[in-house]
Formats: sequence, C-alpha cells, structure tokens
Amino acid sequence: MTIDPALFSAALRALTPILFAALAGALCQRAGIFNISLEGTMLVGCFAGVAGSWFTGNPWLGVALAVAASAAFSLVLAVGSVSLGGDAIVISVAMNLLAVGLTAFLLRTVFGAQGSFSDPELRGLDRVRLPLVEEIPLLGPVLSGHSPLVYVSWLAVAVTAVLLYRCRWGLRLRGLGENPAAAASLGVRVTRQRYLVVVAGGGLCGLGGAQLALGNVTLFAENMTAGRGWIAVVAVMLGAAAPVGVFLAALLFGLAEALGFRLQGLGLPQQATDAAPYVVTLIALFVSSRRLRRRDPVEGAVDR
Amino acid sequence: MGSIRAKLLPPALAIAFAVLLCAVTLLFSGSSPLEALGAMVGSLGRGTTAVDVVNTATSYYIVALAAALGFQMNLLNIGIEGQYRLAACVAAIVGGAVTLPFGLGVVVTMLAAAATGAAWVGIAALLKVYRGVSEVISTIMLNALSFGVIAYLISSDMFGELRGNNIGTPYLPESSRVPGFSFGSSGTVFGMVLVAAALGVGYWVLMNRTRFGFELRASGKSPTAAAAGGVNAKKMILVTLLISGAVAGLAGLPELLGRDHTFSLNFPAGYGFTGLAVALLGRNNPVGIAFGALLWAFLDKSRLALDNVGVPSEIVTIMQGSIVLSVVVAYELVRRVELRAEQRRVGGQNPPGSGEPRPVSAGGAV
Repeated sequence: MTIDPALFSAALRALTPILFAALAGALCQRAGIFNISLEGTMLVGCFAGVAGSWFTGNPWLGVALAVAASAAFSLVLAVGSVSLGGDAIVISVAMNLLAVGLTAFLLRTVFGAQGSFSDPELRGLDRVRLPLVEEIPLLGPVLSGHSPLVYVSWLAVAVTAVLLYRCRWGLRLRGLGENPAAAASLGVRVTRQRYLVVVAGGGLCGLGGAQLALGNVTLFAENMTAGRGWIAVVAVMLGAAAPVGVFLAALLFGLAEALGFRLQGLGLPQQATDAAPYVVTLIALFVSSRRLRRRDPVEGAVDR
Repeated sequence: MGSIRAKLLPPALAIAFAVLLCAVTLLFSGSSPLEALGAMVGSLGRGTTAVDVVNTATSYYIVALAAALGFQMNLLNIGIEGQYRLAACVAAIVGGAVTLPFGLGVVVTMLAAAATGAAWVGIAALLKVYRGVSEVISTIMLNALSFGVIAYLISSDMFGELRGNNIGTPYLPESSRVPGFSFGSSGTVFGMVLVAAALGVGYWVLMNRTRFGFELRASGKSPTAAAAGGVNAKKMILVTLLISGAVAGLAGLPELLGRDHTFSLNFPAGYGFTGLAVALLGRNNPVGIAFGALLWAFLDKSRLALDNVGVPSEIVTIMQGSIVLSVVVAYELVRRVELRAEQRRVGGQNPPGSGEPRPVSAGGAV
C-alpha cells in the first residue's frame, strides 16, 4: 500500500461532516448540555440542503437552507431541555427518531421518492482549486481541490477556538458549563447563552449535512448520516470538547475511514477494515480517559 | 409523585399531542388523518396483524427492560443494539451446534445469549469503572464494532452458510426451538412471551423487593448519598450494566427461537433505540413498559396498512419521535404543576406570615 496525497485528501473529505457536528457538540458540552442529537440534526441538514439546491438551482442556497433548517430543528432541544427542563439525552434520542421520520416523510411527499433521491439536474458544490497552494509538492494535492465547506470547517475550528479561549463570551460559556449556578450569580444569562449555543450548534450540523449531501455526494438517501453524528459525539469526548482536539479526533476517524478502503484493496477482509476506526477509538479512549474521569459525575462520587 | 393521575396523565397527554401533530402533518401533505387512523385500527382485525403486534412487542418489552435497568441508575445503555444482535448471533451458533434433549437445548441457547450480551456490555462496564470512560461513548463504539464481528461470525469461512443471496447460521435443531401458541389463521404467538413476562416480574422483584434494587435506585437518585450510605458505586455500575446486557441479549430470541431459527443478514435491527424510547414511555415501570411496547409494535405494524390506503407510512416514525418528545415534556410539566399544588397545600397549613411559598422551597425543581 502506498501512502500518497490522495489518501489524506480522502481523509479530509471524510472528516468534514464529522468535524462540523463535533464542533457543535463541543460548544454544547461547554455550555453544560450533552447533545447527542447531532445525528438527527445533520440528517435534517442533508435533506434541506438537497431540497434547497434542487428548487433554487443554486447549491449555496441549499447550504443556507440546510443551516436554517438544522438550526430550527435544534430549537426542539433548546426549548425542551433549557426552557421545559426535560432531559437533554432523552430529547436527543427522540429528535434522532423524529429526524429519520421527518426526512423520509418529506422525501416521499416533496420528491415522490422512496429510499433516496438523486438527479443529474441536482447541483452539488463545486470543488475549489487553491491557486498557490496547489503548486506545493505533496501538500498541494492534499489541501487543494475540496468543496468550499471543507475550508469553512477549518475556519470554524479557528473561530470556535478564538471564541472559547480569547473572548469574554467564551469565558462565560465555559463557566456556565462548569457551574451554572455560579455563572448565573455572576450575571451570565444562562437561558439565553444555552439557546444561542444549541441553535448555533444546529447551524454547524446543517453545514455538516450540506457537505455530506452536496459536497461528498450529490443526493439524499434515507438515514444517509449513517452514524456520523454518533462518531461526532465520540470525537467531542476524545477531543475533550476543545476545538483543536475535536479536529484531531475527527482526523483520526477520517484517516481510519480512508485507510480502510485502501486495506480492503490489499485483500484484508472488509469486516476488519470497517471495525478498525472503532477499535482505534476504544484504545484511544482507554489511553486518554484519565483526563475525562473528572468530568463524570457518577465517577466523581466513586473516587471520593 | 404517588398519585395515579400523575402517572397516567403525562403519557395520555403526550400521545394525544403526538396524534394531533401527525394529523396536522397528514392534512398538510394532502392525506386524510381519519382514513389513516381507520386503516391502522382496522388492520388489527385482519390476518395475523394482532398476533404480529404481540410478537414484536415481546422483543420490544425485553429491550425496554434492559434500557430501564440502566435508566434506574442513570446509566444510558446505548449499546443494547449491538448486545442483542451479537447475542442472537452467538445463540444461533451455539444452539445450532448442540443437540440436547428438548428443553435443555433452549436453556443452553438462552444462557449463551445472556452471557454474550453481558460480556459485550462488560467491555463498556470495565472501561467505565476502571478508566472512567462514559458508557454512552464506549457503547456507541461497541455497536459499530458488533456489525463487523457479526459479519465475520456469519461469513461462510466461519459459521455461516450461503442460501441464495443471503447468508446465515445453520438452522436450529428442533430441541433448540421454542414452540408457540397457535391461533389458527390468526398466527402463532411466540412461546417467548412467557419468558418476557417472567423477566418483567423478575425486574419488579429485583427493583422493589431486594437490597440490590434499593441500592440501585438510591444510586440513581443520588450517587453521593448512596456512596455515603455505604453503597459500592463501582460494583453497582458493573453489576447493573452486566444485568442490562444479559437481558438485552435475550431480546433477539423471540424471533430466533420462535420463527426464524437462523441468524441471517436480515435479522431484525434497530431495537436498541426502540428499547430506550419504550422504557421512557413506560417510565421504567414493568406494566407501563408493557403498554409502551404494545403501542410501539402496533405503530410499527400499521405501516403496511397505511401504505395500502396511500398514506405515507413514514408518518409512523414521526409519530413515535413526537410521542417520546412530548412524554418527556409532559412528565416535567405535570411534575411542576403537582409541586405547585403541594406548595399551596403546605403554605395553607402554615400560620399567616409564612405567606407565599418561596422559590427557594422549590429547590432542585429547575
């Protein structure tokens, strides 16, 4: 097997939807909300992206609709858990179910299709060639030639990192996650902050969904997120809810997915290569878990 | 908390709300909600639908018990999906390999399933207890991993055999099958219904009549208080997850032992999240879960009837999602209303001057 630029290029493509969703998860985690509705929210984004691009003929309007629809969908979590006091995990489980039903229902009623919808007329996002970067040997082909949203996702990592660690807003947000009562007593508007973070996270999931349905492929299929939202939840844990950490965790999954395809070409059984990313994660969790230990309330009681 | 109204009102409200929501959705999409409802209810009387509902509910009941065990202790066993499928696969292999006198074969198969479920969740349990890894994360991984393991186990190099374009384990011998209760042309109810009912009784006894159950519920309500009371939290987590996994392991058996007799590529999937949803709907109560499982199975089985009258059957999934969503919210709302009533009652007994109940007295309500 050769390690060539195409492998890393494929990895970067594979990681982008996971990265967007994981950034959303990291933001929510920081605000003290365990958001596992990423899978469903991203799926809504996939559908809205395809619908938007199909009816307007402009993939960017599709992206915009994906962001809007996912943000609106995540309002369910905000209203349910922040305002009405329901359990965020339970609401998320329901939202994932709802997203599968809603998108399949709309696929049937809007497009008259069952299972999946694709059409040569459906416009996806064009690849961008970066003029100067492209010339760099080895690195050029890896970094250039992706859908614009791939670059947006890197920008999102940087913006989230700055917001979290270099702004008063981020400081307040992190305080809110660690001790809501103390943050509230210092004048942090808990409800408003949490709404903002959940809805912004929804928008990020929408970008992830748009990249999946209009960037990686150009179609919508029932349940097409296929567990990427769950991988994102794991990436949030693995990356300790820090933007750069989350990026590295998503990179691990992207690489494992891309490598898996290669290894299959070498005659390794498909089951082994499919399982590879998850084995890698379990090992990574085992090794890195000491840091996470303090975050676990039940575990905290144990140690004392 | 104790009043029967507080227990029954929320699910009733939630179901009513979900039905309303779906009716409006159907109206917008140009279908008639009444026709849809008629088709759903009408299908119960035809063919084997009613028996199918009971059979499917049997599996749903078992997965939901597994989920409820975790919920009682604030553990979220997302891995039920992987546990029951892998367990059914191993049980099919073990049950197919041994030929024992009737009864014994079934027992061995069931033990194999329970042991596999427990062993699979055991990985997550050990990671949680010794390395502090959240069970949510590790079981998501284990679910994904179980697909690979199952595909490997039923490949033709291992235990599977090719049948047309399907692949599966060899058929179980007669001694490893569970006979059902035949209702003639209306179908056959799985014999495993009795096992599911026994599990429900066992669950109730474990939770309400044993020290373990008491400690489990205490740990769920307040880990710190339980720890102070001398409960070994690590042991509780380990044992609870293992029992949950063992119960989950049995969930695939009604279909395996009662109808399919083989684990093949099209063995039912997706019960894991159903279990979580049904346990929530039934509020971790064995009787409530039974109603939840029947409702869920009824909704699932009505898809065909809906398609037959031209109503998009995907509305069923929307309905299921909105039921769970509204049941969570409804419980919270009813709890708040009851709390306020309680405060008013207490406030009325106190001498004048104590006045309005202070928000502080609602401590922990938010």
